[in-house]
Formats: sequence, structure tokens, C-alpha cells
Amino acid sequence: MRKGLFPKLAVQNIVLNRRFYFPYLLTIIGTAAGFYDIAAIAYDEGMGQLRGAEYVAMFASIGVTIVAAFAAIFLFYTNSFLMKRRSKELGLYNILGMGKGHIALILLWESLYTALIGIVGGLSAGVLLYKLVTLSLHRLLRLEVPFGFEISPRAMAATVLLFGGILLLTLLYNLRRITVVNPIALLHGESAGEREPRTRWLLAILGVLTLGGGYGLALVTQTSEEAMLVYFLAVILVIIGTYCLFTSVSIAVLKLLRRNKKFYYQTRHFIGVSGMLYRMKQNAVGLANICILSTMVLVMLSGSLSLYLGMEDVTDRQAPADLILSVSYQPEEQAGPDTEALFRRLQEEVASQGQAVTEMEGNFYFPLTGDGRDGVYSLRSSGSMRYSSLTLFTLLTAQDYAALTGRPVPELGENEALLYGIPDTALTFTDGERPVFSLEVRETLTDFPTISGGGIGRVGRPAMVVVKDYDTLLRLWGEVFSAVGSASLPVYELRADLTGTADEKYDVWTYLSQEADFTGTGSWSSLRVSSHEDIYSDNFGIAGGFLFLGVYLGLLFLMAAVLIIYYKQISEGYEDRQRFQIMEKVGLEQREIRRSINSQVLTVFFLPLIVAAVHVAFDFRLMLQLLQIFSVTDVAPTALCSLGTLLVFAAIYAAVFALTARVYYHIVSR
Amino acid sequence: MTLLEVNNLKKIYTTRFGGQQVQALADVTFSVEEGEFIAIMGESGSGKTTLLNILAALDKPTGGQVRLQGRSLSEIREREMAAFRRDNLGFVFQEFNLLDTFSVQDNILLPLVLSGKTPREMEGRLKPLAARLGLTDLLPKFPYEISGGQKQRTAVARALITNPSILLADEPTGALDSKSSDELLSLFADVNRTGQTILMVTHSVTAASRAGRVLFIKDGQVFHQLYRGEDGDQRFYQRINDTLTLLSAGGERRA
Repeated sequence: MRKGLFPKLAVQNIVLNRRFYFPYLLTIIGTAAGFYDIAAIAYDEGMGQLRGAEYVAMFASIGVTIVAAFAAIFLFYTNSFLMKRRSKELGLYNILGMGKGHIALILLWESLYTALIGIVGGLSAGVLLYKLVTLSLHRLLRLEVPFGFEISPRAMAATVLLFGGILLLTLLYNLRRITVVNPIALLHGESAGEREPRTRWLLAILGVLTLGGGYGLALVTQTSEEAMLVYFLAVILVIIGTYCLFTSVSIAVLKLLRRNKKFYYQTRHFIGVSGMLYRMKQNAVGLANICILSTMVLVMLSGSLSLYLGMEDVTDRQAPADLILSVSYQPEEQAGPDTEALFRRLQEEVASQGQAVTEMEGNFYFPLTGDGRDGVYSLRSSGSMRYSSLTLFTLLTAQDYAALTGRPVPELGENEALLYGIPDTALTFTDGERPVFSLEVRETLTDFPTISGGGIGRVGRPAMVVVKDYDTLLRLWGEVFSAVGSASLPVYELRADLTGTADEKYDVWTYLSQEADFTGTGSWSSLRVSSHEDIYSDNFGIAGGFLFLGVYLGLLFLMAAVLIIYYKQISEGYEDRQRFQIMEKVGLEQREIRRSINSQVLTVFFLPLIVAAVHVAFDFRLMLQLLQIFSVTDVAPTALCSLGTLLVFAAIYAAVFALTARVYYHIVSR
Repeated sequence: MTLLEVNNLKKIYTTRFGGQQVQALADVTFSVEEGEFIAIMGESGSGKTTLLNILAALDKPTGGQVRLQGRSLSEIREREMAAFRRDNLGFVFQEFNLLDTFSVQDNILLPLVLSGKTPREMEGRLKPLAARLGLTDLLPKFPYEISGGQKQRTAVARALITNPSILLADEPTGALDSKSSDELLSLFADVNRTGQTILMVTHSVTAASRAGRVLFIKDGQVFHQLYRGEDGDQRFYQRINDTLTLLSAGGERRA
């Protein structure tokens, strides 16, 4: 045959099949760009040196793996769809006298063009988007925005290799398909015998069991550790359950509907139910895919967003001032830290760095970790302590409380206390068996000044306990020490706000924690300086990294879901066209056609969304427990995040549905 | 009583971008009495299908008039058209046009469902009809499970279940083997004996020879017509064949 014919035919095929090819190319471009950008971040060595960006490389390399796996699966999926649609065309070539070798040549050329457009397009889009991606990443991490325009050759090479490899594999798969299948089968490939789906009870039972199991796990977990342990298992169970549900339960339900004659023999239900039943088998997997992708998008976005939004609060709780000096000391030595001298020294040291202290306050406290509920707390730290049953008590004196709040010193007895944070009316601390000491709660406080206490980087419910005086504080410490054999030392905490920018404050902190000299400030055993800036950038390094990954993968999965929806709409359009033409001849009104298409397509398309929302609802408890690990304990903002994400997602879903539905009508009514 | 009147029917197709005009029907006039079984014959491109589409109200004529039971089709508004078609016309197509999403039973019931009949009434109409057409055992099956002849009988049942005033058939034997064709034609003859009016467009002389009257269409006009009279199928077949030979030889109009 004439030279140059095959490349020409290949181009012609791509143009002629643009309805299928165009989204496929977009998929390649989109995933390749996504892969390039995340790889470029993962390979950027400068990133790890930025304060707060230490975790980014880790998050990005997780992202690289996920995006690569996703790209492979997804491109195979879209390719197989494309090939199924085109089997008739290829069968025709064969029948018109082209050998399989010739068809292979055409496919080879098509693949070459596809790869060229997809990879080059993807890389260009990736390079262009990289600036946007890094900008948003820096904003999420609350970092200064960098300047310049970068290209990562390593990420480019990785992209070319990965996508070249995937496309080569799809080509091999396609070639295998045409060599194995005979031309007549290819010719009829599209309308390959449809059989009414059987109700597969075994699968239905398996679906109910796995889904029930997944939901059950989400409902019975009590603690963050359990949540962490079962999360993966629950996800796998729900995924299996979703596939089984869509492939079997849906068919069983539809068959039941069909058996109900009163319901079934009405125009809309009649066409809808039979159509869905007919479509369920071929599309159950597609719908399950959409459902799972949607669930993933929702869970990732709402989870990481909740974490991110909760972080501000967590940071303020952990570091209520620019600088926090925690001076722990041995209570046996009567002297203790000299608070006046500490104040003075801190001011001098800060001044030596060219900044000044604007506000300063301090208090004594004594941290206790209790394991238990409802007024009885064990002080014995066993290895099996569960995060969410832990309460982090901070005991402080009535004088300090009065000084911090500006209120009069509360009158308290030896064994009386004011309590904030938990609703108990009496507190009994035990060594695991016998009580060590008990406190009667005189009053439950509704607000409390923010002090850092012992809570930094620890997980548990915070609770503030105000006791009579300093002697009581030390006495209680002594009782804990003699009963349990160990106890965290009492602490004098000094909080100071500084002048200067965030970076200047950070520099002051670096100086204080590494070089400053605090000798001559009384007797103490250790002095730790924490900085709001440091904790802030650490917290947002993690939360921002999570959010970045969540949004990034969320967008990618969203793109996949949109594409699957699009492909479903057009393939169904071609299938339904003939059906509706026949019905029109038999006397179905145009209006009825539209109405029944609407109700059928609507049900089919919003089913995954509804199931995804149910999944997310069950996931909510698990997510709250996981968030506790990061000290995010507020339920309301997390609930708002989940709801908000769901609403936004539903809006996008509806828009995509409406847009692709137009394509569908166009095909059906032509 | 005259059931269907076709007067001076004209149909001119204009190609998509204007310009070219194709005349499908030039001037067609004929009428159908109640209880008749009429076959319309003609070569490809003679305008048979266009005529049928206009009779079925699927297409609009450029000129002329079609009256069914005295009512002009052009008077029927778009909104009522589907219901009119459903209640008065029954269709049988060459390609059966069964819906593969429905069982045989549901395919037959489709027009009744569309007109909003109750399940009881549907059942009442379906049972005797299915028995008459030998479909009783096939009712729960799906189109892909049955033969071509069975599919066409299903299509006939679907057309008859609304008790239409006229049954329109477009090459009903076109996709059938000869045995199934014979069965279908016998079925048509049976149905016709019970008073059902049938109008069938066909290529096949065998099919036409089972009708009571044959109209020949050529170049968009009714060129000739033959009544069976007292002839048997064999004799009528011969006469139809002779007429066709004459037609293709370019004979003159004798109608």
C-alpha cells in the first residue's frame, strides 16, 4: 500500500472519532500534567529546606505513587471504552480487505499521535500550571511565596517514561484484542448480545455483608487508635460492598419493582425500570466507579479541610503567646525558679536581638494525664492507653487563676477545685486500683484563659483544675509521686508576646533556645522555649500538606468521575437512540420521551451521589476520631466542612450532569 | 364504508442545503374500504415507504390529503398525534422493531401502557391475543431468545392489541425466511377474516398474492391496481407477476 497512507488514516480516525478521542486526549493531558507537577514538587530539593515544608516532600512522594497508579488504571479504562466503541469500524477495515497487520499499523500510528499530543500537551500544561500549584502550596503551608519559574527535567523524564509506558501497554492490549477476535465479532462488538441481568443472590449477600461490615466498623470504633487500625479495612469493605451493591442489589430491587404491576405498568416507570434494569449490568461497574471516586473526593477534601481549618485553633491552644518558657523544677527544693529574675532575663535576651517584649504573664502548673471517664481517672500510664480516653489535666493555683483572669481569688477548701473543660462534679485520681486523691468540684467554669499547659503535641481532652494554693499543688504532686512512683515535674510557664515580624520572632526563638543564658534565675531542672511561629509552621506544614494532597487528588479524581460520566452519557445515548425511535413509532409522545429520559438518567446518575453521601455520613465518626490525633476536637466545624464539601460537590456533579445530558439528548433526538 | 381516503397526495423532498428537489410522490389517490387487505407494490424508490410514512402520520405531505374515518390527518394537532397514532394505527415493520429491554409480554403491552390502561385491562386483552398468535409460551422470553418469525408475530400482537382501525405493515416478510413468511401471511389473512383492515407495503409477489387488492406504484403515482376477485393465490400470483413485468417494461398507465 501507498506510503503515508497509514499515518493519514490514523489522523482521520482520530478526527472522525473526536467525540471519544477528544476526552481521551484530555484525560492523558490532564493526568500527565498532574503527574508532572506533583513529581516536580517531590523532586524539588529546595523545598525540604523551607521552614514548615519538611513534610511536603513526603506528601508529594505519596502523591506521585497514587497519581501514577491512578493514571495507569484510568487510562486503561478509557482506552477500553474507546476500543469497544470502535470495534465496528475496525471490523469493517478487516472485512474491506485490510490485513490485521495493516490495522495494527493504523493503531500504532494512532497511538503514536495520541502519545505525542498527550505527553507534550500534558508536559506543557504541567509546566504552565506548576507556578499555580506551587503558589497555592505555599499559601496553604502559610509560607512566603517564592519567585521565579522552574522546570524540573527529572519530573519531565519521569512523566515521559510513565505515560509512554502506559500508552505502550494499552497499544499492546489493543493489538492483542484485534488479533484474537475475528472480524465478524469485531463488527458486532458494539451490540454484543445483551442478556437480561440475573439476580445474583450470592453477590447481593456478599455486598450487604461487606458494606454492613464496613459501616459497622465505622460505628463501633471508640478511639483514635482503633479508628486508625480499622480505617483501611473499613474502606476496603465499603469498596467491595459498593461494587456488589451496584451489580446485584440494584438489579434485585429493580426486579422487585417490575414485579409490582401497578407501579411498573405506568409509562414513566415502564420505560425507566426496564431501561435501568437493562443498563444496570453494563453500567453497574461504571456507577460503582463514579460512586467510589466521588466518595474519595468527598472524604479527602472534607477531612483535610477540617484538619486545616482546625489547625489555627489547635495552634493557638498549644502556643497562646509568641514565646513560651516552660521551666520545670524539683518541688522538693523549696526555692524553685525565681520568677522575677526569669522575667527580667527574658526581656534582656529579647532586647539583645533587637526586639522587645510587649506583654508577659506566668503561672505555675502541674500536668497530670488521666485515663478514664466520669470522674475517675487512673494515673498509671499503661502502654495500652488510648488517646481518646485520655484527659490532660493542668492543675494550677487559685492565685494564678485570679491573676490571669483579673477576678478575685476564689475561696477554695483543701479538697475543692474549679474545673474547666470536662463536666465532672468530682474528680478521683487512682493509681489504677486505689484512690490517690479526690477533689470536690466547687464550680464548673465556662471559660478559661489560654495557657499552654502540658498539651503541646499531645492527644487528649484538655481540662483545667484550679486548686486552693501553691502548697496544695505541691502536696498533690507529692501524693501522685509516692503512689505512682513517677510524676511530671511541676512547671512555671512564662508567656511573652514580642514585637517584630513572624520571621523576626522566629529568629528570636532560635536564639533563645540555642544560645541564651538563663543562669541565675533560681533553681530549676530544665527550661524549654517554645515559639508560636515554630508550632504554627509545623502544624500548617502537616495540615497544609494534607490539604494540598487532598485537593490535588480530589481534583484528579473529580476529573476521572466527570469523564466516566461523559463516556457513559454518550455511549448510552447511542444505545437509547434506536429504542426511543421505535417507541415514537409505536406512539410515544415527544414530551413523554423527554420526561422518561430525564427520570431514568437522573436516577441512574444521582444514585452514585446519594450512595457516596451515605458513605461519607458513616465515615464522619471515623474522621472525627482520626482528627483527634491532630488535636482537632471540635465537631461542628468538621460537620460544616463535610456538609459544605458535599454541597459543592453535588453542585459540580449536577452541572456536569446537565452538560453531558445535553450531549445525550442531542444524540438521542437526532 | 370507506375507512381511508387518500386524495392527490404529493411529497417533495428538498435536500439539506436547498437546491435539489426530489419528488417522492407525484399524485396518489386511492381509498380503502373497511375490512380490506391491500398490498402496495413498487420498485425501490417508487415512493412506497414515503406513502406509508405519511399514512402513519410520521411524515407530512407537501400537498393533498389523508382522511382516516373521515378525519383529516393534517387537522390533528401535534400534541394529540402520538395518542391518535397509538389508538388508531397499528404498525408492523420489516426489522420487527422490538425493544430488547422488554420481554415479549411487555413489548406487546407497550402501546397500552403508553395510553395508561390498567394492568387488569392489559391482561384481559393480552391473553386471548397471545393465544390466537401462538405466543402464550413465549411471553416471559426476551427478543434475543426467540426466532425472527416469533419476533414478527410479537410485533403483530403489539400492533393489534390496541384494536387499531388499520394495520400498516412495511415489508413485514422482508427479514423472514420463507416458512416464517408463509406463517405470517396466513396470520394476516386470518386477522383480515375477522374484519381487521390491513395495508401492506411489499416487494414480494408471494406476499402480495395473499392480499385482496394490489396497488402498483411507479414514479410516485398509483400506476395500476388488481382485485383478486375469485382467483386463488396461485392465479392471483400469476396476474401480479404479469403486471410487474409489464410495469418494468415501461407499459402505459391503465389504472
